[in-house]
Amino acid sequence: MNKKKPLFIILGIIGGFWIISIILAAIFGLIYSFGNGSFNLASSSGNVAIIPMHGAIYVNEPGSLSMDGVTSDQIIDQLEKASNDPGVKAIILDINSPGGSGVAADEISQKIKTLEIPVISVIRDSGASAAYWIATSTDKIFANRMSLTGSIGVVGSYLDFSDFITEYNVSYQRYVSGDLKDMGSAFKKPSSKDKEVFQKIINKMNDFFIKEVATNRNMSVTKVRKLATGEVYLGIDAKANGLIDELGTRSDAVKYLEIKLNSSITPVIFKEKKTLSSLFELRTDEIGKFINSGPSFEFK
Amino acid sequence: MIDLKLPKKRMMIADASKLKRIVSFFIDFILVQIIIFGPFSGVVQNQIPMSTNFQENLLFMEQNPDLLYELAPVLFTMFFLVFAYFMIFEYFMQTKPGKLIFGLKIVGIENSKPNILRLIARNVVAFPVFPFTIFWIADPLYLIFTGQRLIDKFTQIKVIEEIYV
Repeated sequence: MNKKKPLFIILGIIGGFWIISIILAAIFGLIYSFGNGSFNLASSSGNVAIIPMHGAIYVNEPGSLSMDGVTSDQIIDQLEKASNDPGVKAIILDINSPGGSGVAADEISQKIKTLEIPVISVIRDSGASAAYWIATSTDKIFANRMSLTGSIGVVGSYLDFSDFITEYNVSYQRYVSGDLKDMGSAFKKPSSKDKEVFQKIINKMNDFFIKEVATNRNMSVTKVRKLATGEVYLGIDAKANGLIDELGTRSDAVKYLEIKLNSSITPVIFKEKKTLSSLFELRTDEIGKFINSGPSFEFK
Repeated sequence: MIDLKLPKKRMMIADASKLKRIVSFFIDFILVQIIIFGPFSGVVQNQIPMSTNFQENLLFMEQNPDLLYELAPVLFTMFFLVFAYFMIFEYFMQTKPGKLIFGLKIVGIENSKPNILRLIARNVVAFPVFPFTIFWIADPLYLIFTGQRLIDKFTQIKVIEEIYV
């Protein structure tokens, strides 16, 4: 009765179960990302549609070399599905995104403005830049006091490989119809004119962003411009600056909607199913594209 | 070597103390959380947006039966692993890591090795299916007041501690 159980047997059982759990969890994770088990609960089983907007926001599907993200088409598609569902009385945009493409943000934002049912956004960890732009077009913005939001501004960048190729005795042969035709090429040093044009584009895009936020938030352009230093604001500071409406969580958003709609809330997820093929979209040309993609302007 | 002829240690068997059982339960509970629920949490959380805690997830799943249906294979696997984990420890070692720390042992009512069917009945309540879920509340309450789990009463199993004097 007093035999000590060998410690290694106990640790072996614990370790064995841990490894089995990890393997099974990974298998389930894969199955769900294949799409067969992922959820597309767009149906009349709820009266408030939750549309997750997680990761960077793109116009096109991000490649497999990129981080996870969503496209404006996907979000717009879910917004349409939700608004066309007679059972859905409101939409909650569940935002957890650092930003992304300005065009994608504008497309989503314009779509939201056409919807006749209330749309509110709940910012989780982050709802910055392009994601914040989208949030401003909703009827109300909820964010956690520690959420990262704001970051009103534009960033443009590309990698300059000109010194690199020179070191390897590779030269860039240039034939252009105009001086600015190959501006942003990764294989040549940008001229002062190139830089000037790029900066002008960025400034103009920034103006669009500022004006959009000012209109959506009912704030003066001057005030928004003051805040538009690219600074990321914590939820609590964003509230103080009028960039969001309420500090709160999903529960607060639900409570708000319950009062607004005068009925109890049953949330339902609207999320696009991934297809099996999308998982294997490892396009070999992506590396080439990445190197010579030219400048990208993003709201991040 | 001189034989001092000291009296042998005497072992007494007593019902496990309430406090030891509660603490060992929490140790086992935390271990299960880490070993089994931990790896699966990512899979479940990915499918439930805006969830901030377990209660909210539970409420959300109640409100979305389709989601529960979709997640059923994951949940079943998780709880099957919990069941298998408890069964292996209890059948082969008559204890669990938390209990082992306090020298607690699971025995049949006659202080013998418990029958496997009784152990199955004891651990099947881990599955989140009615009426087993009743025991999730009844068991700890019964344990607090009587020092014995309700399911142990039904399965004629008891937890003892060995005291050497």
